[in-house]
Amino acid sequence: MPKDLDYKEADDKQLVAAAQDGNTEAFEELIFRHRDKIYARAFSMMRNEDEALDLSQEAWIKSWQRLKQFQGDSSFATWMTRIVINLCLDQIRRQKRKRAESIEKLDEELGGVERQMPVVSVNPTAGMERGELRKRIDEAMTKLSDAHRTVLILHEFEELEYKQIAKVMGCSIGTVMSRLFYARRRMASLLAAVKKEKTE
Amino acid sequence: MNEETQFKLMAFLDGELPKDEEAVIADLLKSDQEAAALLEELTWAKQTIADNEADMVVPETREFYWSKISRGIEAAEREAERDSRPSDKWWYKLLIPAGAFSAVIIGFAVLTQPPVEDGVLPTTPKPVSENPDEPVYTEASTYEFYAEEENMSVIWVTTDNAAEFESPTRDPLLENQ
Repeated sequence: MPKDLDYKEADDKQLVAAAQDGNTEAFEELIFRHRDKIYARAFSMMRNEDEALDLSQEAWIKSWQRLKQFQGDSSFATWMTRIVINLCLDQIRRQKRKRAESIEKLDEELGGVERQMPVVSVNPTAGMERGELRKRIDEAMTKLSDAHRTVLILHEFEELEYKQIAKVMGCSIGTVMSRLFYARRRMASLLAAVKKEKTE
Repeated sequence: MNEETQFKLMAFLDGELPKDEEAVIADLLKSDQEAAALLEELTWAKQTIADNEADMVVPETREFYWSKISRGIEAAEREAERDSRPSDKWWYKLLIPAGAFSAVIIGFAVLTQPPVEDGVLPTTPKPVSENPDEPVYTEASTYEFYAEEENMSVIWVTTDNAAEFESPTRDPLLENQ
């Protein structure tokens, strides 16, 4: 490892190698590069800025402690994203236990409504500006249950397969399919409602 | 359309349906308008969500954000170091009370022992002679002096049963003769 490493010019692999040797400046550069993505992932799951900030920072601290375990099988960003997702899931589970609820119970309550939803036949966001569309999708995501939102994030944003999602969430592939199916249908329904609001 | 078929439709969309079932779903989509409409809705939802993740920016400066993480790393390292020290292990914490307890027990044992008399501990075992006829001197003391007249050193031995030793009638050597 060269001693005069140019942190701004170095790629992630070089920075990770330096950080694994205890170089905190290299680690700081990695944080600077990926902090927004990690924070965004925490926010998309928690829907709360303060919690997202705390959990993203906790994820960075954990990654420093486990950096020697990173073998480079995936990209550093992917590895970091898994860490923050796991922390968010742990936090969601703790919150559920506090409220004496369960993700499964919420699923059942919401699944009943979604089974009766008519199919949205027209693109409900046609003609909507990109900024507006993102804002509406973000608002709709907030209305989903934690389980539905998590499965959507893992599938649509992280592009995980059903079996990988099942492993992360600690449930069966059948449960993942059910959650993903009703999460998508609910999102379509919520966005159709936005379209209806705008035309009225 | 039942729930199982709906889920298979979604798996078809996500490329997770087994090859042998893909043809069945493809045929269904040709003949069933409801299935085709549902697939269209699911496809739209999937694509729209995937393409429109909200942009988020950490609401703190680089320096402030890093300083908090840096402090967190230092705190975690201190905690790990403390955990690895023996003074923080559960068994180490028991050493002090266990040591104190042992000291009390030993002190109690010493204080409750009977006092020593005449310089001989009562628990001292009596000497045993291999010859049963040989007198056994349990309590013996000696003193010596130099006899100038005889020009010799004399060692005087006294025992509890010195009388027996001095008595010719009880002399075991004489009795045996």
